Amino acid sequence: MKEENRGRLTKEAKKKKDTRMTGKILVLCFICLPSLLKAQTPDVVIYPRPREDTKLAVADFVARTSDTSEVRAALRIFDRVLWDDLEFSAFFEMPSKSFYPLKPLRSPTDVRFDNWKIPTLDVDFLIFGNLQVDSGLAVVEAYLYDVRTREQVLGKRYNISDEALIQRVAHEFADQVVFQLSAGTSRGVARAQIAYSSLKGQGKEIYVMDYDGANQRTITANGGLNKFPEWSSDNSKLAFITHLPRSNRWELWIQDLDGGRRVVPLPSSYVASPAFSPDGKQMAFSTREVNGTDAGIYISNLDGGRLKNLSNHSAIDSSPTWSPTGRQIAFISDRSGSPQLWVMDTDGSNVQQLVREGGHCDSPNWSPDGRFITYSWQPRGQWNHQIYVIEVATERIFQLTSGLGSSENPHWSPDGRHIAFQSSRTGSKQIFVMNADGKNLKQITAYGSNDSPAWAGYPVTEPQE
Amino acid sequence: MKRIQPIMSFLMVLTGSLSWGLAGTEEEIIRLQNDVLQVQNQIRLLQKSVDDTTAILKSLLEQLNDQMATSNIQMASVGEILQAQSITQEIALDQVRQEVQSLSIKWDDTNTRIAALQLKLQENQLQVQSLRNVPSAGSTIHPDQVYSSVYNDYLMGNYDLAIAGFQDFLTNYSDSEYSDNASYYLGVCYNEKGYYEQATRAFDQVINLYPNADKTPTAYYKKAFALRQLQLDVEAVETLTKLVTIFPDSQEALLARQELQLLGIEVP
Amino acid sequence: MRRVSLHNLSWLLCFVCLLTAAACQKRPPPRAPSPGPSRSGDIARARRAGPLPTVTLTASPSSVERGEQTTLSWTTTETMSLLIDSGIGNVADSGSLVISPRESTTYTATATGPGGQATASTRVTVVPRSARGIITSTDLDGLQQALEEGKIQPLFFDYDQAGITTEGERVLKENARWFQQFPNATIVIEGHCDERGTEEYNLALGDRRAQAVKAHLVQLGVDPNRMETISFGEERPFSPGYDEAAYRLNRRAHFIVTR
Repeated sequence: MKEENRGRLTKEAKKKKDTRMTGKILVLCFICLPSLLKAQTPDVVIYPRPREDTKLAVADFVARTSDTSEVRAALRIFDRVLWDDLEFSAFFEMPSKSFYPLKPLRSPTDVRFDNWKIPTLDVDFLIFGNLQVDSGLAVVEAYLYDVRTREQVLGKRYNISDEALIQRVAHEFADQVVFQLSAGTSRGVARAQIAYSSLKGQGKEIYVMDYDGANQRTITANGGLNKFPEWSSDNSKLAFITHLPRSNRWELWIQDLDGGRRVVPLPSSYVASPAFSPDGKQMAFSTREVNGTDAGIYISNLDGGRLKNLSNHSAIDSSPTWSPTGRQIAFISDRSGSPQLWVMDTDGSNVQQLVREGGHCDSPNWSPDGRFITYSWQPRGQWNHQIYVIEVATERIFQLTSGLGSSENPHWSPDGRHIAFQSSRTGSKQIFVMNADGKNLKQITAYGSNDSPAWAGYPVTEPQE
Repeated sequence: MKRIQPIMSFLMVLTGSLSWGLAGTEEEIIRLQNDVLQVQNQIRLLQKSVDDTTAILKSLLEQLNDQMATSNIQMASVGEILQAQSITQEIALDQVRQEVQSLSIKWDDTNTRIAALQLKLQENQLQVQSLRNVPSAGSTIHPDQVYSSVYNDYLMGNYDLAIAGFQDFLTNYSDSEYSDNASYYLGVCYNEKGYYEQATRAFDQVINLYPNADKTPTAYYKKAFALRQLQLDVEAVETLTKLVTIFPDSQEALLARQELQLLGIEVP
Repeated sequence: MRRVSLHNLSWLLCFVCLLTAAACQKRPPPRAPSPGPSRSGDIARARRAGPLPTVTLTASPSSVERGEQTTLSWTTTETMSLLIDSGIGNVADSGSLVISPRESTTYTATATGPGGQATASTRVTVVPRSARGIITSTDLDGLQQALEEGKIQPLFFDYDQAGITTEGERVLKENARWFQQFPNATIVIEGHCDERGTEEYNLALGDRRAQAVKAHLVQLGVDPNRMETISFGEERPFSPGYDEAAYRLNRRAHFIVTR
């Protein structure tokens, strides 16, 4: 009921030209919004909706031959990572391991399927396997069985040259399982990394980590301020802005993860929020003409050529994000008075205001399927930002976070089922991940101050068959 | 509301499968196959729940029959007792009354449960039916929902689906408040597919039918783009000039001025 | 539009060059560019068994005018990790990088391999584009002193605003007098914000504040070519507090003097 109400209001707001009238409607929207958002939250239909209706059991992996301490350590890591990955995927209901039959499962012949159909378990699918470490080389055999039909769905054998890669194998198998059991809805996000900006002394450096916070490593070490990393669609490059010590300008850097690096020449000392176009040939960012007064949305080639001002407006236009088709750009503009969410075509035409609730919006990020944009919003009169999602076609808004601290810079996972963001709820800025419906919140960094997470796209190599 | 969504997705799948032959890209086919899989899954799930419900119903009916049989036997024994003993044994009669009463309560209870189950069964059957039958266009679905579902196809880059959807929308809801937007995005989708003549016609529809809509300036601008792709430069310049004259303050007029200047044409 | 801004940019560049030229007269003359791959000695003695790493580092061209680009290229053998100093950081075993150093810089690459370490250096000499113009360092020193003595004041802004307040106008009038008294020093205007906004928008807002101050100073007769602007958004607060008093101090533009 209320939802329809709001729909009518925004439609009216769209049509009315009289600003005073629009003002009234804005106030109305503003008042009814908080209760509305709460009312909607329980049955939010975020697509692809986390289903959690497939029951999955993940039996502890077993040492294949010798049960040394080395093998046990590797098994502990593998079991934990695989469980966490599958649980995080939000596709499965995973009954507690305490209900599992006690008999270890080394190979398919060990499985008594009836034991997995008892009422307390009653799982649809079962994962098990074995592991062996031999002088630094590790071999993992992993199986996925359909308990109902008793057929094998997946059987994988991984040879790893370095047992330190055991986490990677767990991530890879988890992604395979998700790909199989989601009927291709998701290719899994366990291998997709997160880039972010981390405070180091006086400066901020760009870092990259696994989605679960493991394996943090530095990309820059220049002692300056490095901010707003964003991945190219093939994950080979990171773009970010850099302010080197003693310099008087911000620079747009493109860092090849293989080592090369390039500074994109731009006219003025201000640039922010770079974003690669989906085809990887262009970038959008916020910058300013050398004698201009305000930031605008610009696009250019990766070498800075064919620089074009898209927004042409005497207002701050910042924080561009491409739609997955590369045909539209969502951005933040304060042309209506305060920073709000706007959308335009990449030829600069068809500019529309998408969020008109007032307050401060920032950091929009377009979902990989094109339907949603996540952004941070600080309602008028409050000093905290929270994470929201708007469905572009219907302009329905969903609140995903609440509570203490400010939550900012949301970024979709490649399957559009999760969102990474930064929050100061623990006192310092740290990076969190959650499902796209706001559930299953997980903190993944804990030390120092970390912000601006950017989730990489799917790994370019297809899951191996 | 919730029930409409599966209907909608099925409708989209059907429209989609029709347009395969036309120009379905591989990605769309995969997407559609996924959708079909999902719908099949849903049907299977529903079928399963229908089966389960029927089984429960059957067992309940059996129970009921058993109860009837036992009560018959009890009634018979009561009759025998009555015959055998004199009517002065009122206590026994009371017992019988109580038993009959409790039986009738049980009977009512069972009836209610059967009714509830029947309702549920009907609901399930309806859902299965609604999934199997394609609802005729223009039924109870609200135009907003149709429009936004087609617009989603545009956002996702499914331009063939979006073209078919916007055309259907314009046929079924010709006087909706979204008609101008639908015509406009139909033109945009045609531009994306390289059907520039159709695009020009769609933009003309916006310009002629909705001369003051919020999409009109950008319809001029996109029409000029389509005309340029068709090598109709004179008409393109004419369109841009009109845009600058009619909507001088629009963002699109600014873009048009820049383009006209690049072509070396004096701007009014 | 573009042409105009390029024009201005080139004027700015010329001016920067002039300043550098003058400044360079005070310093020892730049060393002659070292030819080709430079000394690849300095090989640390191998402590462990294994082949020694080798590394070469070249800059082409090795001498550039300020603002121009040069390509740094390197190759290595038997190397596990390679670090280039002067703000470049860890790089791939072999590769190249386009750089545009502001001043003459010696780059040193340190290769670490199983057999030990090896280093190689190359120098990129940055020469001013033209040697004309005079600058007296007294201007720079004088303005620096005025800044340190608190005679050049920062100015503060209202929440989410870049408009100059009446108090700000008074401060700028005073500051402009000092700037004109020492006409040969370049001023950097830093724009800052309080932490309540978001980082992306605040970076743009700080830029808007710095540009507004610059425009106001131009009106007061200060040469735009001797003013640079930079926004720090919410990165460099004056006061670390979380109340309005602290926020007020952080919504500011302040000035530093540069060569």
